[in-house]
Amino acid sequence: MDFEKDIAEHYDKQEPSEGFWKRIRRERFRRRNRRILSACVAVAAVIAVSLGATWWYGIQKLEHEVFAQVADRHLTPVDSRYAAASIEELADRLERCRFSLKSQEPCMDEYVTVAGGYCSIKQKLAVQIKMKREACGSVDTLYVTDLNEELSRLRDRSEAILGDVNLRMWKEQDRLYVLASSQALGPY
Amino acid sequence: MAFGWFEKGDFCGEFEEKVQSGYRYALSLCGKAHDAEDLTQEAVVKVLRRYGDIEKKGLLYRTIRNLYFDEWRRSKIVQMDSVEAVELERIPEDGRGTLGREADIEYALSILNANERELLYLRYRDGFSATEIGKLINKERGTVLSALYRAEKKMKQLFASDLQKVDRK
Repeated sequence: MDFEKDIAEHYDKQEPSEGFWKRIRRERFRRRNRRILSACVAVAAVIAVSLGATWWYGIQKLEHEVFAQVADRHLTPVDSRYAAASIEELADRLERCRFSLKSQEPCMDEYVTVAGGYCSIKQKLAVQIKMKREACGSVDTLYVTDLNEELSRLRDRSEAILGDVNLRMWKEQDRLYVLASSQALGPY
Repeated sequence: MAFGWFEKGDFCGEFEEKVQSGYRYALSLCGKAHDAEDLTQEAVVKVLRRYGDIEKKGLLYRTIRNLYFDEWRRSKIVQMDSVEAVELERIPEDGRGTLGREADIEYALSILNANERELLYLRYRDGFSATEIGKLINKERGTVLSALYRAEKKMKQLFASDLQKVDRK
C-alpha cells in the first residue's frame, strides 16, 4: 500500500486561491515598501544630523577662532594708533575703512573713544578701537569689520571668557562687532 | 505600487514557494482550504512584520504551528490530540472505495486528526526526518517515530478496510 506517495501527491495538488495570492502580494509589497521607506527616513535623518552637527561644529569653531584672535589682540598694544575723541573722528582718519564703525548697541553709550587703528580678523581688514568705560575707568577694545560670507555664518550674539578677557560679539546690519574687556562686561 | 522595482515579476520565486509550502502545511493542520489560507496569511503577515522576509521555510512552519495551536484553538473549535496518545478511531465504512484514489486519500486524511495529518505531511510531502519533525514540534525523536507509526497504521487500516470492501464486490 503506497499511500506515502499518494499523500505527497495529494498535497502537491493543493493550491491556494488567487484571492489568497493577491492578499499575500499586497501585504508583502506593503511591508517591503515600509521597510525601504523606514530605511530612507533613517538614512536621511543620519545625514541631516551629520550635516547639522558639522554645520554647528563649524560655527562654534569659527566663533572660537574669532574670540581667540580678539582676546590675543586685546592684550597686545595697538601698532598703528590714531588718537580720536569720537567714533566719527576716528572714522575720518581711517581712510581704508569702508564700513561704518558706529554701533547702535546700548552698552556703547557707556564708552568714550580714545584711539584706534587697523587690524585684521580672520585675514579680513578690521578696526580696533580703544574705549574707556566711564563708570569704572577700564580701557576696553572694540573690533569692527564688515561681514563676508564666512563671518556671516556667526550667530547674531554670543559671549565668551578666554583667560582673563571677557568677550562679547554681535552682528549689526552688515558689520561684526567684538568687544573685549579685562573686566566683567555689563548686561546687553 | 509605490516602487517600480516591486512589480509582480519580483514576487515569484523562493518567497512564493515558501508560502505555498506553508499553505500546504497549514492545510495538513486545518484540513480545510479556507482555514488554511487564513492561517497562512496570518502567519506570513506575522513573519514579514517581524523579520521583513521569510528567510527559512521552517520559520513559517513554526509560526503557522504556533498560531494554530496557541491562538486558533482559543477562537475556533479545533480538535486537539496529543501525539503521544493517538487512539485509533472507528473508521466509517461509507463514502469510500468508489470515488477514486485521490478522493480516498482526501477522505482518509479527513478522518485523521491534526497531529496525524501534520506528521504524515512533514514525513511524506516534505521528506522531514523524525529528528527534524521532532525539532519543529518540540518532541523527542522516539515520540515522533511512535506517533508516525500509529498514524501510518491508521492509514493502512483505512485502506485495508477499503480494499476488503472492493474485494467483496
